Amino acid sequence: MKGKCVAMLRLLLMGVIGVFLSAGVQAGPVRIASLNTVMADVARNVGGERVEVEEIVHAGVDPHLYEPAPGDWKRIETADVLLAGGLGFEPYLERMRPVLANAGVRVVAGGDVVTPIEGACEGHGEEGHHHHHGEMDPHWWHSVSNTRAVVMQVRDALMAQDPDGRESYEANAAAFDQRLEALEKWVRLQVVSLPKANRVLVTSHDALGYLASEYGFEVLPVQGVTKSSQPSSQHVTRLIREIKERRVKAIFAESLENPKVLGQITAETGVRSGGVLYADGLGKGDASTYEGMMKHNVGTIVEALK
Amino acid sequence: MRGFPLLRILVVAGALLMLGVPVWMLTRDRVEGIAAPVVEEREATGMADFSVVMTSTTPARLSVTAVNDAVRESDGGVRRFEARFEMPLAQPEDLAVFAAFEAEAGPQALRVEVRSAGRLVVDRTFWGEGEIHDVVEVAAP
Repeated sequence: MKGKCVAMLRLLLMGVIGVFLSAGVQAGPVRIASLNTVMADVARNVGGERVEVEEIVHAGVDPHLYEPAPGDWKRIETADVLLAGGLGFEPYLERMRPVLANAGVRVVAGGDVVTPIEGACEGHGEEGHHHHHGEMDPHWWHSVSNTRAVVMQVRDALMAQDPDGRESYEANAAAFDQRLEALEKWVRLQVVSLPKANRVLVTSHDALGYLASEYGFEVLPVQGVTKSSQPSSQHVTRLIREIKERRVKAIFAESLENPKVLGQITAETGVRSGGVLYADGLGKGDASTYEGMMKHNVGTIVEALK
Repeated sequence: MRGFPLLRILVVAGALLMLGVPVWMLTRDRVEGIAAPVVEEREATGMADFSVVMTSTTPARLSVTAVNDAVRESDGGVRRFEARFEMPLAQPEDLAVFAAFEAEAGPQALRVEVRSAGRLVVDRTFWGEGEIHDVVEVAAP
C-alpha cells in the first residue's frame, strides 16, 4: 500500500513538472544577467518582483574596457535573459551568441529597437584623414524616447519568457513609460532655458550624440565613440581653436575614464570645467537610476552652459 | 423622448455641436483675422520680431517666455494672448509656453502660432488637463 502511494505521488509530481515544462511556465523569478546598467534599471522597473537582475557590468565599470571573465560567462549562461546595449557597445556579444543560443538564453539588445545615429568622426579636417564612417553610436539611452522604446522591448521579452506575468509586466511598463514621458518634457523645459548659441558640448568622448540630436546641441568630443584610440595632436589643436573661436562656456569630464589631454585642453583654453557627466551608463548616488542619471546630466549641462 | 428618434438625434447632434465648435474654432486654419505684421526684419543687426499668438479652448492664464527675455503674461484668464519677441533671425530661440486653465476638469487645448514678417513659422497645438507647460521649437523662418 505504501509503495503504491509513493509511486502515485511520483507520477503526480512528474505530471506537474511536465505540465509546467510544456506550457513554458517560469518556475521562480526570471533570472536576468545584464551587461548594461541602463538595461538593468529598465528590467527592474518593468519586471518588479518577478525578476532577479544580476549586473555583470555594474556602475563604476567602464563598459568600453570590460571583457567577460570565465566566472561572468558562467553567470550569463545560467540566466534566462541576457540584456545588452547593442549597436557594438559589447564587441564580445557576437562571440557569445551561439553559446547563449545553445544554453537557451534569450538575448535582448536595446540597440535593436532604436533608430541609430552615426558616431562623430574624430579626424575631420585633418591632413591625410581617411573616412571610416558607418560606426554607429551605441549610447542610445541619452535620448529618452529611445529608452521608452526599449522599455516596450523588455516588456515583450519578459512576457515571452514568463507569460503568467503578462499583466504585471504590462502595468509596470505603462507606469514607467508615463514617468519617462514626464522626464522627456522636463528635459525639454530645462534645455529651453539655454540660448541655442551656447548649446555646444565639449566632452571626453563622443557619447552624447543622441542627446545632441534630440535637443539641438553640438558635440565636440576629444575621443570617438569607442575610446579605442588617443586623439591626435592635430585633432586636439583644432579642438582648442574651435573652443576659443566659439567661446564655449564649459568642458565636461566623465564619471569613468578621461583622456589625459582633457586637462591640457582646459588649461590652454581657460574654459572652466562644467562638471562630471555619466556617459556610458548609470553611476552612483543620484545617478544610480535612469531618471536620476538623465536629471544629473541635463542639470549639470544646463547649469554650466547658461 | 423615448418614442421620438428624430428628437433624440437632434438632441445628440446639438450636444456634439456644442462640444465640437470650440475645438474647431481653435484648430481651424485661420485665413483671415491676422493683420499683416507691422514688424520688419532688422537686417543690420540680424534681429527680427516674432509675434506669438496663444489661443486656448477655455479661459486660462497664459504666458510665454524666450531665453534671456522677460516672461510675457496675460492679465488673468483669457482665451487669446499675443506677445512679441525680438530674436536673432538666423537662430531664433525656442519658447516655453504655459497655460493654467480656469476650468479644472476635462481636457483642454492650447494653440501657439509664431509668425515673423507675416510668415507662419510654427503652428502647434498642445493638449492637457488643468495646465499645460511645454516647449515650442522655433526654427529660422
